[in-house]
Amino acid sequence: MIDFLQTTQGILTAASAYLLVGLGWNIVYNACGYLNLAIGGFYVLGAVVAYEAQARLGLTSFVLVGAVVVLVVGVVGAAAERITLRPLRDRGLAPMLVTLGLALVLLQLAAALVPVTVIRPAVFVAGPPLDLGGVLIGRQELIVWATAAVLTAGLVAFFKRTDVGRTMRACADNEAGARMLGINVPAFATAAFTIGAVLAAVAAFVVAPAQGVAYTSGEYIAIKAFMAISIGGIGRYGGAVVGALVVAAAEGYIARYWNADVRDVVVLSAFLLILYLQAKQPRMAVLRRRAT
Amino acid sequence: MSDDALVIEGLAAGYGELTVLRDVSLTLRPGELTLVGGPNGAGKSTLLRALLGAIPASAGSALLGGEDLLALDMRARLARGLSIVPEGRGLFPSLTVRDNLRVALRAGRAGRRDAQERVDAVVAALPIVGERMDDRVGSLSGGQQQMVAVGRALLMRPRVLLLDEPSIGLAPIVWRHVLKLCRELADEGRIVLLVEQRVLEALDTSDRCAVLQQGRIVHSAAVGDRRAVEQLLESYFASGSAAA
Repeated sequence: MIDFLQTTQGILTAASAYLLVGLGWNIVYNACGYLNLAIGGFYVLGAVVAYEAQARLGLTSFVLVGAVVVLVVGVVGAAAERITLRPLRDRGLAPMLVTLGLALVLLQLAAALVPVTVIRPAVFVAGPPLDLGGVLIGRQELIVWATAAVLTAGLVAFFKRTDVGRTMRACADNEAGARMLGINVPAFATAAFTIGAVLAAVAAFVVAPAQGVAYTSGEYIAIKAFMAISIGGIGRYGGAVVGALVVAAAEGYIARYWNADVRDVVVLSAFLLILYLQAKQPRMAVLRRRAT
Repeated sequence: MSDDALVIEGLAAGYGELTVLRDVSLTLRPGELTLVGGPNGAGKSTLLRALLGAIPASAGSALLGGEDLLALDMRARLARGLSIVPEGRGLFPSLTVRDNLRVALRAGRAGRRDAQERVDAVVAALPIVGERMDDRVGSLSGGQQQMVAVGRALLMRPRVLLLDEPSIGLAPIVWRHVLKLCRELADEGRIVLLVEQRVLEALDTSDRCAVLQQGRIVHSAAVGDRRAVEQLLESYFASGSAAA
């Protein structure tokens, strides 16, 4: 039983990271209408900025480091959207292809800034793991869970309870209708892209001290997060929570109780099967549903 | 002529290389409901989009209180008091009625107290909006959605209300209610411009009527002038556009 719970706590950490990145996918998809393939790049950039804030700026407070991550990645995300993506709105696949180029630029930028294989900033709170009846839980992992829970709840509240959040939902729902009310739809798209980039960066900021972030981690986590939102329905925030737990649980339990080497093969094959069934059966086509 | 009138002169507009509206001239007065009829493709929706600024005008002017709206962008025109109930209603179906209204109020930069007063006024005029306040717009009937769309436009306290074929998808009884509401809005001193295919049903509610054909106003008359209206109807039926 303890072994099962120990595996489950690792699953919760992975699910938290998938959830944060998945929410980033969803926000951009809802507000901008395309998939942001640079989200993995923003994830790696988040880890790099955190590392640099500690190593070069000498910041030791994780609150300050987090603020620097949010500020730097927010500015980069907003500038990237405003300069490279906004002019391509309503041009079919062009914006999504640009995000692919953006991902490559971000990864090269990250590699140039921190030429180490695995980025692992210092943990936020030093100390031994907590022992809950034999189940060991790292302090940093608790921070990862709390971050995912707080940001998810915060986003739900933001979209339901604030004027800006409601207006972003309105833009996603009916862009032409929003324009006819005088809403500056492109500005809200920039805000959504920025929030998506910051969410991915914050995920890396909290995960990197516990597990480290490699340059290949960006693509990896972006794919896992995409699987999560595909299972939960692209654009659906509640579905992202369920999808993140399903993906993380499948890979965690397969690795622990079957074979770690086949984990990704099995999970990715199952994901392909789900996509196939969704495409084949219209009733299962959650991929086509937009946010509600 | 009142300075508060919207005076359209020689308006031309279209989409890219395609010119849809040509040399359209109309005078819309406060307190009057002006009905513009015409067949599909005549340019009715294009006229409203050009006035709102959703598409650029290539020629002409649209003076409101002496200021040429065509020189302003869409947001500035909305700020001058234009409001539209667009074709398809332009609502946000996954949001509740209340949130649809809130989004409009935020776009119109209404203060909190002012916002509540505006919502109360809309609910007083359209009780169904108040009854369905917490329902998602996508779950409402077509008629109820039309009421929400009109109510949302009213929140902006428009000087000029533009309505693009609001009869689409409405049962006759609901359509008559919408017409009655349009009449009341005009009677409150607003400029109301209604473009419709169902002209006959809307004629008696209107003060002036014009027929748009192939992007041009081919006939216009005051509804009180029966002889002119008969000529207008002949013109309208000759265009093969009568839907009711």
